[in-house]
Amino acid sequence: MAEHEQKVFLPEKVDEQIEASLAPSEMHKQSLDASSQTVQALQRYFSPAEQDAALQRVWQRFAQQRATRRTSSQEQQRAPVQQERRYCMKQGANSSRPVRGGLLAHRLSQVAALIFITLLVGSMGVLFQLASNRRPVVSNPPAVGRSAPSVGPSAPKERMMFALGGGSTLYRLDMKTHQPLWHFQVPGGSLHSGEQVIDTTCYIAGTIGGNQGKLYALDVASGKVRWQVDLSSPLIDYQISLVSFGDTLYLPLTTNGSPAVEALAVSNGAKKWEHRLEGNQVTLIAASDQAVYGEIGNSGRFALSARDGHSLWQKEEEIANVDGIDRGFVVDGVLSVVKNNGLGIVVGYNAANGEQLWNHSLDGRMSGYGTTLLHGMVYVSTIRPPNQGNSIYAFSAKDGAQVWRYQDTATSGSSDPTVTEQVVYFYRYSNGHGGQTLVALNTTNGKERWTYNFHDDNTVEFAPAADNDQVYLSLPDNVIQLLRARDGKPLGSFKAPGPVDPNNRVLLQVVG
Amino acid sequence: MTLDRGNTGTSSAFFPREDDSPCAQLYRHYAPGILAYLRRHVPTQEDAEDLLLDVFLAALEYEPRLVGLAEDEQRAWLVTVARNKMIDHHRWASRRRFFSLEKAESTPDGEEKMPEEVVVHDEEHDRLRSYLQQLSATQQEVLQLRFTAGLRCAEIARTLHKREGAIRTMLSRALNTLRAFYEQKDKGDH
Repeated sequence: MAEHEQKVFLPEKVDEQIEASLAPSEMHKQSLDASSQTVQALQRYFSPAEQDAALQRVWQRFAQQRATRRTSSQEQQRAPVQQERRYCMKQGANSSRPVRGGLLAHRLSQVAALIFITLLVGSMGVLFQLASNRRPVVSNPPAVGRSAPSVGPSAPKERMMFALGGGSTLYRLDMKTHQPLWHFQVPGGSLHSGEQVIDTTCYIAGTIGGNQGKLYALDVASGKVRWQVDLSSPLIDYQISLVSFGDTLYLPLTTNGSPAVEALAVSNGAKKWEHRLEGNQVTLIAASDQAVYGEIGNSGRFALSARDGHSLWQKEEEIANVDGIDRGFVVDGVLSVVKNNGLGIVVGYNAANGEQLWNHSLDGRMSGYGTTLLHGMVYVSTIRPPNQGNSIYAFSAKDGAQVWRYQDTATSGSSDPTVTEQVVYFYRYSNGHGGQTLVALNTTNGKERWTYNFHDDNTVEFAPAADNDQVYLSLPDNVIQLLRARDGKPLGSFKAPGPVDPNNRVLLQVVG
Repeated sequence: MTLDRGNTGTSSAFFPREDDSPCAQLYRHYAPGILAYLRRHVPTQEDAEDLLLDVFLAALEYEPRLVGLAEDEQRAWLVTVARNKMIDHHRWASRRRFFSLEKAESTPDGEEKMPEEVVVHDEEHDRLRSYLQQLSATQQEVLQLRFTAGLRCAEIARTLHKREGAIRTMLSRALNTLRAFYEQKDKGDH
């Protein structure tokens, strides 16, 4: 490791650097460098005080509740202690002890508990996941088909705007008035993912009671549920990774501990086939009229027949130390995939047999999950360590040829790119001072068109939403700032619906 | 007490010593860190204990699934549930999600320190506190999840539903800024 790298914390190695500074050998050193001092000071600052007495109290209460549940034939009547206490608080009592009141109070407390539980787990599940799933306005949104425009499903004819507010409600907004056309809430539960729009269907995942996940297929016109399916995996670990082609939607699942791929009919959610695989979790990366493509953990890739799910090919991963896979696209018989193996790498495979055709190393690690396909070009952003800026690349998806690269050395990183027909947008982080900057690049050549500065370093966390006319920035207090796409001129703002959370932003997507 | 990656806040001598159930094992490993995390986000010790109880009642409900998860996944699951319960607690209480760091200075049941340790402790805490107060609530929470709950960047990203790259950048940026304080201090010492 270079001397400079030892001195600073690098985004791609920060976990290991922290752990190295906390290693027993480091903890007992008399003389520590500034990095180890920093980590150990934070460790002391944040490390929990001894709370044996408190832990003992909680464990005793837990053991009591567990015993009660085990001996009761009516398990669901046992509400968590805290729910009872909260019900009691609502009635004006101050006791923090469990309520052992009358039947009515007990039943009311059960109702309160059920409501509470449904609101609980996964209630914040929509934040950046939407950002990672959100796709910009392109003729063929990558999250939809991740396939070449020439062979992918038809794009929506109408531009649509969606907003996710407060982690609980999905709104479709009128493009002109910005008023809600409809809204959707998970019945008795909460949203867990960002939406993905495929033709006339809007897919979104939710949780009902604990982590039981459901995938909802909504009619984009009315917001009504067309169909829904149970997701076998706990949603807390479920990375929404839908790929679709034509009339088939593919889901990565874990069934009885084994990874599997399920093919569903887009029209009604009926299962067409299921194929089980060996190994770890499946990530689906692309689909075409012939096949659905995926990766098993970071160890290999596979192709299954789109028709019946039989295995077409399976290959071991040739690239060492792959630690992240973003997405893939099928263009003219080539499956191109963006991965991380320390640094980012774009790899092209023969879609027919899985053989590697080419690869192209990037100058930094993928910044996130904003890799986008537009008109046969793959757009990907990287972060260069240590805090040496970012790059945006445009590659040919067919042969990996680099069409342009935009390099920025004056920043510590960037957001995911948002790609439109004319403009590629990203946020330039500012190394801790001077706020952030929205940068607009020319899609065809990567030249900078204009910039728009923010003075709050933490105001904007997601890549912007955009269409060919306007850019939409999500600001605190549900404010959506509009800029003119041509030159970045502010065009006003509107307030998105939904509850305001000081730490959340309204997550906006424009498709079509 | 020290934390390490596989042992999030394990206390030196506590229960449930003779219970080998999955929940007991999870409690032994993760309850101290989760309680500390909760304690930083709710106003009273009593609230934190109530929420910790709710976390492990949820774990009891999902015990069969949790058993099948890897250690990192178990930790992330528990911390996510704790965070959701904490958020919901504040919704119920109509309070802000995050409390000032002054609240976090109170450490109930904390061990007594020697006078000289207190001086160093206070000086260091003052420096850290003044720095941490400049951070956004999200940045503070990233540090808390890393150093209190012991989560790695990927787990923090999953818990906060943010991109891992953003968490890595945020964490390394915060550490590098704080590191400058110590670097200057070292130069001053020499």
